[in-house]
Amino acid sequence: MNLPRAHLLIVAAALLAAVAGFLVFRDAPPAAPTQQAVTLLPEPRPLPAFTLLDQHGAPIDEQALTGRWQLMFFGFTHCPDICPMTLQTLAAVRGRFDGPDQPGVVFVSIDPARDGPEMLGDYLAYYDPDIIGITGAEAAVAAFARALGVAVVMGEADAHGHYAVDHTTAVFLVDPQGRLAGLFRLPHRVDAMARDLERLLGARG
Amino acid sequence: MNRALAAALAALALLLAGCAPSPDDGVLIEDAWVREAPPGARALAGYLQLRNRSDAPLALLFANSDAFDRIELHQTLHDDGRMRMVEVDHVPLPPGETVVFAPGGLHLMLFAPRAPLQDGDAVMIELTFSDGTARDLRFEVRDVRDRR
Repeated sequence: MNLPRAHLLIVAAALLAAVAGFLVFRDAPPAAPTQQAVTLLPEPRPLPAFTLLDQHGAPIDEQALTGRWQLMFFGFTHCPDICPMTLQTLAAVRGRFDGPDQPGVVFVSIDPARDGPEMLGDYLAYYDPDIIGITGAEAAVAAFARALGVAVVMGEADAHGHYAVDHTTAVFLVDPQGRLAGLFRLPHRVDAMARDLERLLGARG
Repeated sequence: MNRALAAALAALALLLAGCAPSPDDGVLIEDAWVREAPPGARALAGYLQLRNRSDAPLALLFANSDAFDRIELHQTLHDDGRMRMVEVDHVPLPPGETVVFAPGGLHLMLFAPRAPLQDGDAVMIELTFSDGTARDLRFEVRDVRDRR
């Protein structure tokens, strides 16, 4: 006689708990926040001043990197593995956005002796003609890289005159005010980078 | 009757003998491709997978091709946020294991293509192994840009 009633109570209590649980948790944020790919600086800082050349041979300075978010990285055209991968990734990230939200992509050659404007222009146009290429006098490029903490080690030339250039793989994030806002370390994934940029665009707007 | 059987057996034996020392029994090579590069690029990268199906350790020693000035075996190394590309003397192929040449890791560094290479083209590259065998392999040129 009492047993079925006890069962009924248990069932009712369980139902109540389930409903309460649903009401409490349905609006709760997911337990673990989505992993960010970008490492933001505590405070954005101005880019080091520079006067270099773009891929059209025209002078370019830090003012050219304002007005939109920019993804900037350092590489060289004789780099057949990592540099194409990174350019491809950044061009794809850029392709996820339209209009003023679309980030710029900046490729700074750390091998300006081999990467003259024309070489750089042909190379970058293959990925996206809107990529800004930066080259120039070796000392000036090296100074700019150094000021950003980019480690560049020129390799010894082999018997064929070929040499590699060891370099930082981080992608630097420049904000629309032309300030260094953060950086993306490896691995560079299109989805994660695009998501972080969306978040930053949202925070700004 | 007996002679016919003997002839058939002899033919079969010849056929088997012809198949037996095939280098395919040593290293199985798959997914050989070259990344299409921007026009004028002086260095390209080639990738492939090598499976050593024998019981003995092997190694990839050299790669040669008429399509390039020269080829080196390279490894991209990452340490502490920096990327380094180093030439390796040979690539060990432990028995039963698959060694993968892939973007961001091992690659064939292909210097100075003799002719422009485009998506869909093919180049022949000869690989020489430590057991003395050499294989002429077809690498397909692929455009792997992400077009959205």
